[in-house]
Amino acid sequence: MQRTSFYFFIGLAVLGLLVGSWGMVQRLLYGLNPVAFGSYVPWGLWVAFYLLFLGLSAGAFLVTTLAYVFEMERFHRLGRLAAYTVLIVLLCEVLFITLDLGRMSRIYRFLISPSFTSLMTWMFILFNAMLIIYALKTFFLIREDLVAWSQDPQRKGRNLYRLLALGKSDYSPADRARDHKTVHGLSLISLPVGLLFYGTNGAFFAILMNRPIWNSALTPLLFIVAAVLSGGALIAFLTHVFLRDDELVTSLGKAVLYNLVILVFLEILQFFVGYLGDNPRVVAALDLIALGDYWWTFWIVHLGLGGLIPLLILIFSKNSPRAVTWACALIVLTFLAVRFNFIIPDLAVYKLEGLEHTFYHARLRTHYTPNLNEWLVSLWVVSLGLLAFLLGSRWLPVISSDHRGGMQHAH
Amino acid sequence: MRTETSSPKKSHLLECPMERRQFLKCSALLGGSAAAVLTLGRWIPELADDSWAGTGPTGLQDNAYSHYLPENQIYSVCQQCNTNCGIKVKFVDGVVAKIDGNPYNPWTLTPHIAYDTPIGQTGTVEGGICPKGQAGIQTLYDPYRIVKVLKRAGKRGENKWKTISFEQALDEIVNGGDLFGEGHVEGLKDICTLRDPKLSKALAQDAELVASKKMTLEEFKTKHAAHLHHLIDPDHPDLGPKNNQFCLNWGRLKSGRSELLKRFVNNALGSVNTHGHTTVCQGSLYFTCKAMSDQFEEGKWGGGKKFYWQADTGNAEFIIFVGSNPFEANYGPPLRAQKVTEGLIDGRLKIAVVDPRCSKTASRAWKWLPIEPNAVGALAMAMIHWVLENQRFDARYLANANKAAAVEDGEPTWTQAAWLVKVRPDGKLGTFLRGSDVGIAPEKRPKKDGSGEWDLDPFVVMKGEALLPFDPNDAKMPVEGDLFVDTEVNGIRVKSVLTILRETAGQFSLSQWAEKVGVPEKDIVELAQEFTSHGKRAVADCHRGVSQHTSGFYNVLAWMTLNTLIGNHDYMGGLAQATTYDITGDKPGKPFNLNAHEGSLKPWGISIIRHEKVYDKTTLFEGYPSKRVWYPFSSDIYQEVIPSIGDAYPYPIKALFLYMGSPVYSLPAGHKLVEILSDPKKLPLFFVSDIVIGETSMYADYIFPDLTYLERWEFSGSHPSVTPKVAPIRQPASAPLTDTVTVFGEKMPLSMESLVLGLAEKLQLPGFGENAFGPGLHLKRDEDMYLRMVANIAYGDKEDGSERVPKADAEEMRIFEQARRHLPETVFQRDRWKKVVGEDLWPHVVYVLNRGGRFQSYHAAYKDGKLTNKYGKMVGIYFDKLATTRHSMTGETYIPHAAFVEGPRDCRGNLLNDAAGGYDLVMITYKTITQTKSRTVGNYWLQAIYPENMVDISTVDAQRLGLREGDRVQILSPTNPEGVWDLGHGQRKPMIGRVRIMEGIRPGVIAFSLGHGHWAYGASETVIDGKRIPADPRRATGFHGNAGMRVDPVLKNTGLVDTVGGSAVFYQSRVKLVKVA
Amino acid sequence: MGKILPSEDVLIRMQRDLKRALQRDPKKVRWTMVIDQGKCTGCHSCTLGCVAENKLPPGVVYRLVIEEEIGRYPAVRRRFLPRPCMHCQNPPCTKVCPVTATYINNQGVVVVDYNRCIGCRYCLVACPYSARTSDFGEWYTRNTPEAPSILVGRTKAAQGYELQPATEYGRKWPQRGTGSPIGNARKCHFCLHRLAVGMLPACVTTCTARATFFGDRNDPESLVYQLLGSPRIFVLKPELGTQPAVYYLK
Ligand SMILES: Nc1nc2c(c(=O)[nH]1)N[C@H]1C(S)=C(S)[C@@H](COP(=O)(O)OP(=O)(O)OC[C@H]3O[C@@H](n4cnc5c(=O)[nH]c(N)nc54)[C@H](O)[C@@H]3O)O[C@H]1N2
Ligand SMILES: Nc1nc2c(c(=O)[nH]1)N[C@H]1C(S)=C(S)[C@@H](COP(=O)(O)OP(=O)(O)OC[C@H]3O[C@@H](n4cnc5c(=O)[nH]c(N)nc54)[C@H](O)[C@@H]3O)O[C@H]1N2
Ligand code: SF4
Ligand code: SF4
Ligand code: SF4
Ligand code: SF4
Ligand code: SF4
Ligand SMILES: [Mo]
Repeated sequence: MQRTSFYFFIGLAVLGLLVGSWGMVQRLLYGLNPVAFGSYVPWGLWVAFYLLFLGLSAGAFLVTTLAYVFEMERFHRLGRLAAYTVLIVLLCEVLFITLDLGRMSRIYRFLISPSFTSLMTWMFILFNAMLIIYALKTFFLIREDLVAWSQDPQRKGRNLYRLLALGKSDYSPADRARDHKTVHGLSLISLPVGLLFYGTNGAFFAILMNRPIWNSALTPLLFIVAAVLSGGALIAFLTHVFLRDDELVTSLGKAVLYNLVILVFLEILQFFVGYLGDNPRVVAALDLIALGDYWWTFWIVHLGLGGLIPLLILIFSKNSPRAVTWACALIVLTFLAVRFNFIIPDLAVYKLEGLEHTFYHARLRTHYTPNLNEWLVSLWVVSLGLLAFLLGSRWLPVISSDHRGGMQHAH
Repeated sequence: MRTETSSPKKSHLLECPMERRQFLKCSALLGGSAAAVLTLGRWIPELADDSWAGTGPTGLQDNAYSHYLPENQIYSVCQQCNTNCGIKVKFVDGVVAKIDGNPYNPWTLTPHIAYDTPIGQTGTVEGGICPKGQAGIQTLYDPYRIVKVLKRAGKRGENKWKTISFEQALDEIVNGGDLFGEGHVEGLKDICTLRDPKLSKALAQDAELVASKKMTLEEFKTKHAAHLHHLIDPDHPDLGPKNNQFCLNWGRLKSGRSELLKRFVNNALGSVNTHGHTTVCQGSLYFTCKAMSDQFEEGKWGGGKKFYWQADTGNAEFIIFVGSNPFEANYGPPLRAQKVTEGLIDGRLKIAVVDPRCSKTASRAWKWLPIEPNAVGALAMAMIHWVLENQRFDARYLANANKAAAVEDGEPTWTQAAWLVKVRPDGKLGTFLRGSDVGIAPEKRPKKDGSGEWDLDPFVVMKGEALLPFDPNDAKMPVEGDLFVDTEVNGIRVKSVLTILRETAGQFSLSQWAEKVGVPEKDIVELAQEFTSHGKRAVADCHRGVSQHTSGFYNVLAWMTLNTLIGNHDYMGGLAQATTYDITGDKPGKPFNLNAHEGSLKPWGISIIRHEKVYDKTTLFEGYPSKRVWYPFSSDIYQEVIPSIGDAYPYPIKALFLYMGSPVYSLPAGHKLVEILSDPKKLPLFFVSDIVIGETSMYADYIFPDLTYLERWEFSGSHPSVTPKVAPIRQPASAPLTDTVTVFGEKMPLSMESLVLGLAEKLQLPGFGENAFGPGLHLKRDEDMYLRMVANIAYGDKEDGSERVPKADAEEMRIFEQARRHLPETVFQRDRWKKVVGEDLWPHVVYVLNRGGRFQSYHAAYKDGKLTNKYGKMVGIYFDKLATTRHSMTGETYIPHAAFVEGPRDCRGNLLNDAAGGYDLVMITYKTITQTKSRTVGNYWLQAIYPENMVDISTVDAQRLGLREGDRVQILSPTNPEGVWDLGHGQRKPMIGRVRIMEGIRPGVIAFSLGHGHWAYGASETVIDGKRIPADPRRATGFHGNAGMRVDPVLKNTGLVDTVGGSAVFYQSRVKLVKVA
Repeated sequence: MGKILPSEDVLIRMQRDLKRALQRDPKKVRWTMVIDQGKCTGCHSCTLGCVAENKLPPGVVYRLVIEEEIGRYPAVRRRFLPRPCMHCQNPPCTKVCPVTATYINNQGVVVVDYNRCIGCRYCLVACPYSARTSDFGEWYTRNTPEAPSILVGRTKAAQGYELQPATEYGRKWPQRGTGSPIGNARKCHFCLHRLAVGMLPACVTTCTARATFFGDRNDPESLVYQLLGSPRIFVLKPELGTQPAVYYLK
């Protein structure tokens, strides 16, 4: 990444944090009072962001899996960045979901009185497992460089690196082999954990009976495809930005293309089955997606900007890494719309006929538009993630072009 | 669930021995450390976890709940609407925590619990109340409630105020002066100058003579030359004294307060002008029934009660609810809904609903008849037609011409069906045929009061060929007559009343009637068939939808006549009337005679609304039409008070005191009052008792804060459908929130009472203060009057005191005092209260107060298939008075019997044809369960259920007009073509509502519910002491359609009226809707 | 139909049923509600009775009443469906709670432990009847004026009806501020605090049409037991297998 653009993004992140902090203050002072969602649409923008980040992490997860489980060499170059990305993205996820809790301070309850019949508990467990795995994985992937940097007299903040390297001062090939094995081992563990994690996230919604669209076996599948798609796109984008590996970008682009086609296919299936099945509530939910207040997020943002255009690019300019990168960026940027359209319409169908005409309160309506506050908080979290990512990419040895962690920083 | 009447099981409430123990345990808990432990959970949540999952029968181990303790409850009466249900107010730390139904009170349980159930046992027992009743807490703790006296600081209606001291306010009202920098204003002391009772009486008598032309004006003037300055107009002495230029007008007023206000205005200040709001409510229902209850007493028709009948809901087998809305309004859901729903499900009851709108009641009906609004009387006539033609009436009952005949048949009442009426040579119906008409000599009868004799000129029925004279009240000589008579006697054409009815009803064929009514003939036949298939246990139960029409009187009369055809009065499951225990105590033997009033004046003269006076019998008569309508048969004509002030007809009013009413908001075309109220020239002094700055009080000069129903006394009386004899009592429950003031040396909260007492003190009026009710019986505080009224109730209505309630025992005494521990001394002090009623009566008074009143048992209200508390008199269906009195606007006599009078008409009887002007929809109105009039919009709890009212319109009309659900439309009417409320000072509020499309409304009719569309009551900004009080937009939702109701083209400042029954008209205005963006 | 009068109000009868149940083996008690749609007049008293009893803030409701219009003019009817928590005996809501803050108690009442609930609102999403709402810390009196010694004003009003929470679950809760139950899921709890002292739920006693019944369905003498035998009985969304303890009569 160019220095100028680096600072540009840093500036952006700091600005985002500053602006977003107004929302954060509101959130911390007044709890969930300043949000626009309510009891009939109990989850809103933040959960959509959570899902977005979940998907992004899945892509990165996939890369690390390919790199270190299946030992696909070319992905090694991306390994550290991917692992680090998973870490940051997981942190954003947890921030979003924590901020979404009505009584945040009681999050420790997950430890004291967990319920194992709840998929949320499992998500919590799996999430933590992932977090730990990826923290360790990142650590072992970059340990060599950490050690090296901690010994490099020219480096600022050597002490920090020493601390991060846990005081280790030299790094032998044996260490390298052991770390590599550890990473491999961790990756092996992360495979089922990750699959469970992402699957659980789909199941989390799918098990909710009486939910028009979610309550379907298609949901977990859709989740995985969506995750791979958005994650893959993100990685392709990062690859281009940080590694400038054109070949990798274009091959990732292919994977993204397949996934995009599958996703759109699944979506068509969903609509087709839904409309033909003619269950009024399913139809209502689908109508909300296609014709509701947020039709444009579906048609223009998701299918247009995030679907058709990338599709065309990926088909017709599949060999141009720049074009592929743009296509992938579009997919990532518009993916919030997919998540939003997954979460909201299902919630927005009144569960009992006539609920819409009784007991009026803004929080008991299914009309939901995220308010400024929610956007500000989201901005804050995203900026925080971005900042962590940028700082990490700069101050941590997470970007490398070869498996030994050679110093090929782009600046 | 149902047992024989004859064996009323003495219900031992809830035989549960543990109750007392639990109370104790819990009280200990509350005071003790356990409460602290309970809150620990907040800090260490884990601590709380275990008891949560407790294995007690409810899963609770400890319980901090304390509402149920009798010492945390005060029994009182709701006034969130006029149903006045019994309530228990529950307190936590002196704050009202919850309101529920008083189980002793028949409004909230059927049957209510035994009156002798110890109060200690009823803490956990409660009956049902409606959502408004539940939300009453928010009337009490309304942030917009005023606590200090306000005086206007700008022009009338500008909504700028300053707070002033109570003292200053009294002083200004009593003494007048240049109060607003707009010139001199007369105070009460200058208005009410005639204070000498003897002089007043003398003037009154002679003025009467002048009016009846038995004394000339000249004679009068000479005789009273020294006192003519007391008269409004010496040329018209019958207008009465200047005192009449002080007028009291009220909206919602109940006994207790009513006695106090009338004592003040009528008897101390000597004004005739004390007028209520009956005619905005269901006026003609009252005044028709008043006419029907007139009896023939000592040679004259009179004594009719202002009352009406309703169905004994809990025991009827068939009820037709006509223009009546018992599931949402009426008197009222807690009181009547259960009796209907249980009847429907148990199979006891069937109901039909006659209403252009599918009300919630209609949704449970066997038959809903969505009639043409104007034709509600036509349906009754159609049914009368069918009933008479098909001989489905109770002939045995109808044949009874007098009391003895009724008694013989075991009938509690009798009627005039067989009585003969003279037909005048011009074909018009005249008065009843009398003995003197057919050569039967009058009989001498002794007067009841022993003051001499009177001549009985008997009435006559025909039996076969014979003419039988009779005394209607004769209890010994039964007389029955033929029902259908049309003949000539002594050269006089006579018809029986039933013949007259048959002819009137036969004026149209059934299919022609059906055409008018706008429902299939078959439905009418089935309805009539059903109505006449249950003996005496069928009732047509009427309310506003019947009475508030230009022909309201006749609509009601037609429906009530239909009832009379089956003679259902006083029958279990038939028509019932309200019965209450006496509170004034003017009967012998009662503990306190609260009418006692040394030096009281008997008010006289013509009232500002010209009620109970016949135009052509006054000195104002100058041919027809009169300037405004005269109302010989009704009173409390709300819509006449302010407009008559505006027209200064028959004389100007100098000061108006408005209590708990909001005519601008509640009256049809109420916007027309704004101009009058805003003009100090038309109304120089205007003060109001209110709890907030309301739609009408915003035009006042002074607003005196009042106590809400949860902080004050009142005796709410009863309703016709309550069959037991009752005396519910509203008593101070919550601590008062208004400022404390001193009157007669006593500290008390600002309230209507302190206002009246304060004015009385300043004016040094007799009958107030020291020895007001007699030696040692003062009237310095509210309780001086009200507690004695309670004592009268406790004593009962038997002279010998055998009806006295039991004494409160020590435990009841303890609970009584404990329950009032949060009340300040300005309200409650045991020894002071005890002193008012005396040591002897005190425990009885406590017994009654503990129960929120006195209530006869449900079972005692019935005997042998009849009601115990009977009307027991003649039920009139033909009226001599109407046949002989001339209408002030037309000079014609009134129709004397049930009839269908087409409408709407102006006050001179001309039919209006607004449809011609493109006003294609008839606008009606109704009440919704969550709102009461102008005064519940600040009850935020209610808003979730129904946040704004809408323009209800049928699918057909919506399609025709291209309207979609939620579209905003403006309501334009012939007399408000701009569709706005002109509120003065350039403020105009457009009448715009959102459309609600439904199947359940008659095409061609739109409806709106009452209670929204506010422009005061917190809905708009006010300035007090220079401080801006912002509006709350939640209080300004929806619209209020009254300004769209038609203005009478003759009167010009009043809506349409029923010139007979006095009703204001709500259901006959034509409007059109214009879509707005 | 003879000349008969009811000997006691059905509320009194049910209250006796309740007292009897309280004396039975707690583990055998199954609290049950029956709502008669044939009687319900759509008065919304139960809704408000519950709001008042539990001092529910804006946007929180335990029992609302759904209104419906059926048919075409003039064959129109209106129908009302009060909807408390169904107290499902196979409750989808409790299963999804990650922290066991909501569960079914020994008498079949589905409760929420405010001190545990983290406010994730998964249960809101899971309940097929929308019977749960979340407390977002709203105030009725927010933005109302304060004008000391002129008007009653906001503070007094708040003290009057929303500052001090109700004793839900028999607890004295701290003054309403930012603490629980703000942020929590809230729902009907069959008025356990009232049952404990021998009182019927608030929505039952205040039902003006006597359309709501309550008692122990395991007690053959109880009214609810008898009503469950009616051919008019049904439950909402039986296909979901939630096994509600709230039954309806058609
Ligand atoms: N919720 C609530 N309850 C109240 C009150 C309140 O303000 N709110 N106020 C109390 C008072 S003061 C009163 S007077 C009573 C009033 O009680 P009701 O008179 O029973 O009730 P309303 O709703 O005023 O009107 C009665 C019905 O008449 C119907 N109606 C309208 N026009 C016509 C017509 O032309 N013909 C026929 N047949 N029907 C028509 C309306 O649709 C409505 O259903 O309610 C009392 N109870
Ligand atoms: N459109 C339409 N209009 C109607 C009706 C309708 O059905 N539809 N119904 C009509 C009927 S039935 C009636 S009875 C009338 C009612 O008409 P009103 O009697 O004029 O109306 P309320 O709204 O009861 O007026 C009471 C006023 O007193 C004040 N107030 C409230 N509580 C207290 C208190 O405790 N003490 C004092 N001193 N003042 C208090 C409030 O400011 C309130 O505005 O409305 C009629 N208007
Ligand atoms: S019907 Fe409702 S508002 Fe009216 S008195 Fe009864 S409880 Fe109060
Ligand atoms: S109705 Fe909803 S909240 Fe109640 S028990 Fe069933 S699933 Fe749970
Ligand atoms: S909101 Fe509370 S009760 Fe509901 S699932 Fe989450 S933690 Fe459990
Ligand atoms: S049982 Fe209690 S908590 Fe449940 S709806 Fe009824 S009143 Fe509300
Ligand atoms: S209180 Fe009773 S009648 Fe009223 S809505 Fe509720 S269940 Fe129906
Ligand atoms: Mo009224």
